[in-house]
Amino acid sequence: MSRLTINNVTKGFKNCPVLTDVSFYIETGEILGIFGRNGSGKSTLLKILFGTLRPDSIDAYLDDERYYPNQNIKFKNLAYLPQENFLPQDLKIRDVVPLYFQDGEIQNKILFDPRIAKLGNQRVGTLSHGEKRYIEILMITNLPQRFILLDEPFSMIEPLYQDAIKDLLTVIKNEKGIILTDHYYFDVLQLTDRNILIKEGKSIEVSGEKELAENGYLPKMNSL
Amino acid sequence: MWRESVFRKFRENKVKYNYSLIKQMNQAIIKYYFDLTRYNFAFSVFIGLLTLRPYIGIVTFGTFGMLAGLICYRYFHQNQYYFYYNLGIGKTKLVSFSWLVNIIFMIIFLLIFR
Repeated sequence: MSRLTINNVTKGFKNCPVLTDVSFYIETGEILGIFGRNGSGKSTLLKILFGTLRPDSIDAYLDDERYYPNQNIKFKNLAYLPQENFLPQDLKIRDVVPLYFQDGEIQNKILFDPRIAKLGNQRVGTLSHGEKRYIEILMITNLPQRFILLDEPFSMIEPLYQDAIKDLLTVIKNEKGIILTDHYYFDVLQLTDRNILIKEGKSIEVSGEKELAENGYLPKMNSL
Repeated sequence: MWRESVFRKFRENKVKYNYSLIKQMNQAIIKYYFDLTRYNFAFSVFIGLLTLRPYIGIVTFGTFGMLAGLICYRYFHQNQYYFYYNLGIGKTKLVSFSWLVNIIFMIIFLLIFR
């Protein structure tokens, strides 16, 4: 089992502090949900952890060793699904998958997935947003990285694909640690083992809709 | 004996694994190179035609054309960098490989067309 511990992440843009004190941990075998209002710094936090955005300060550990996010791409500890589609739009699905996986078994697992099999000869650019998102998640979750950061995986996705993604994450969770952020809070809460809310730059542990409402993320009338 | 055979198999598999990993990374880098070079090539041809001096176009291909290519790639494919990052290939590696290849091409073409 691996454990990623993050302490005191801070980040500001032009004298405007976004993250002032974010701390949490995640272990392989669990899904952590991160909530926060628009502009609260959820994506900023994921980019910092992935190593594509420099934090003002961070104190992070992977197992017992110090974790330096700027070394992550080189050492492949965390994989990241960004908000926007990232696959090359001009390639066919059957050409993209071998670029990511040399292992024939993994290639077959992805290319013969019931939802992907019929799309093999199509170019990524011609797929619908839901199809693109599904194959991206399928590819990201099959990478060797121990932890996966998913930024809005359910956004603009039809319910059938949402269910497929949920099933996939439930299986993948057995081997990896998943950090998930999305405004589709109902879907996220169904999947997560623990949740945090980023409010005024700080992380707060929350357990469900009631606490999300109490902390101003959900309207009071929606709370249970 | 059996130990030797196990170690030999392990070594062979490791070499095979490393080779496939390198092959996979190279294929991805080559994909990036072609995407980037499309813009560089168009820009360099444009400069060459504008100045009516082919060697200026060739020099541009190995120098400022790269910058133009990077700007265009950033504008049109900014998010595709994450495709390479997840594979363990950073921007420095992508750009330095592409620049090196273009400089080699520039030198070869300059020697041919001098």
